[in-house]
Amino acid sequence: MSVPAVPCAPAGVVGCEPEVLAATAVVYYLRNRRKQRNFIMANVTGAGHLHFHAENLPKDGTGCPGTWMFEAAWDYFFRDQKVVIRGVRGDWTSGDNLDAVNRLTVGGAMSLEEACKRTWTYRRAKSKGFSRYQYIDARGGPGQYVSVDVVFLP
Amino acid sequence: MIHLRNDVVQMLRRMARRGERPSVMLRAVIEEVGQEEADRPLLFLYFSTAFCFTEGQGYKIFGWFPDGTGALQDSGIDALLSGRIQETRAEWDRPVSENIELDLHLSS
Repeated sequence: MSVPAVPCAPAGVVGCEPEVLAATAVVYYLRNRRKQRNFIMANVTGAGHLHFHAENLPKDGTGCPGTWMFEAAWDYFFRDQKVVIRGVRGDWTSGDNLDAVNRLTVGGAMSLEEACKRTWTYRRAKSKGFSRYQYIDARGGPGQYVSVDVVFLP
Repeated sequence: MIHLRNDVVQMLRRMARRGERPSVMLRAVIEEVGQEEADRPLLFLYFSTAFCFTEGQGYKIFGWFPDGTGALQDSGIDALLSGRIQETRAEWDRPVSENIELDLHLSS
């Protein structure tokens, strides 16, 4: 199996030294050698949805940016593996996306769909042409979700 | 380079057959491969491989930490993963010779 090229670190970023630890037809795992909680794990599901978890913690202005890691994973599947991507999943149990959803839905101020469309993952999905929301699962309630799982479709 | 150990994959399947809770299984992997190695991405890969997760069922693991500091406590990860493991049982609960697919032998 050929080993994919490690993408060059983005210009002007401090403390980003990427390495690809797994890259198969369905899984891509890139991490930053210089920051433990800075990685993206991504895979394409059987339904053709790009599913991923990206972290860059602590938020200290260093490390490989989440958007850059998302683009690396996208390029790997879409460009290198020629995978047909049919959606982008938003599957959150913690982190900025879930925090945003909870902040925006407190007291029923916004629907789950509206809130999901204001997340970082939605912006990534929309940039690739996936802006239609589909609910999969959620635990908890407005302002107090502990788990949200949606997919953004073309 | 990531190498998934077949004995760990089989251990997970045995534990699932016995009805062990996912949080117990996660800690068993950590004990087996060592705390230094067993970060959440590796736990995710072990669970995805052991339980034939093809729809991203294992991503909930990223909300859990063994020391209880994650967004998901043991009860939370147990509730989210138990059903998913059983849903794919027909895929992973087969004779060993039929179902070993450790193809994460890559790069770095």
